[in-house]
Amino acid sequence: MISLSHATLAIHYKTNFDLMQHHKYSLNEIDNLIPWEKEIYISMLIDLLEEQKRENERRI
Amino acid sequence: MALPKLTEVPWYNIQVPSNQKEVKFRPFLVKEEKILLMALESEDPGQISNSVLNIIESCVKGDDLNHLLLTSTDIEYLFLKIRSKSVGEVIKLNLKCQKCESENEVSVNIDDIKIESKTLPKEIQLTDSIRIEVRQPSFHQLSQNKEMMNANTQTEQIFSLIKEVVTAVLTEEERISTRDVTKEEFQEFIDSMTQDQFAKIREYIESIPKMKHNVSFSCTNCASSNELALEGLQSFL
Repeated sequence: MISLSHATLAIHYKTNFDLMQHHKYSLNEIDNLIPWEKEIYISMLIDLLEEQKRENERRI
Repeated sequence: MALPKLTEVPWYNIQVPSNQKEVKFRPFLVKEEKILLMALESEDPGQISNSVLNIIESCVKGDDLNHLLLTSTDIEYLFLKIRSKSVGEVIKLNLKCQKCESENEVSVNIDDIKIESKTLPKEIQLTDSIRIEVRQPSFHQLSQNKEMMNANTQTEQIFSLIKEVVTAVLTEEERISTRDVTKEEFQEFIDSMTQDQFAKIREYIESIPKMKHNVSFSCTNCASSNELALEGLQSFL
């Protein structure tokens, strides 16, 4: 959609909620990011979570 | 209490296509993207136009820049440039194959999209003694024109567009501004035109510069090759 095909309103709220609930971001901080910055933080968090998951699996 | 930050976002230079004036623009923010997404999901053309215009108002600044006077081409071009700095340069479009109608994901680089530059006439000669004064309508004017937004056929759309394009009728003795005539009088004037005269106005409207990009892709379903011309912001929706 209008060149924003990467996003929908549902995804927008879901990612904002996850960032606030699980990673202590504030809504104000998220709102003032440039959309590509938000994408970068999300992808870095996904990498971090996957790394932590692998680490936990190694320990078990 | 923390002081507000003054330089949170980068600003870039750009030329407005219709007047070649240099202005500055910044990327839109997540909170502004949300408003756009809300408008898009409403599927209301009026709300979409308003939110695009609001984004332009917030993100573009320049000396003597009146956002309400920007043409549709200006708005489309500026919006795509803002989008490229906000989300990324590549747009993924779902285009239908002309043969089997299956959808194909095609990537378009915004920086490859060009605007045809043309010098448009300011007057059109209708008869030996009657001319009309014409101008490119602004995006704001068009978005406020409910008749055009709700037009069902191309002819209806062109008729309402003519009302926005023609600013005055010039005779040998006087200049009659279209603002000073009633809607009915103006409609009567249009209805009295010959096919040739109407074609001249239509030609003017069709020559208004548009954002244009040709894409070619091979269908992933039937392997046939497709060539499509994307025109205007709506093609990039």
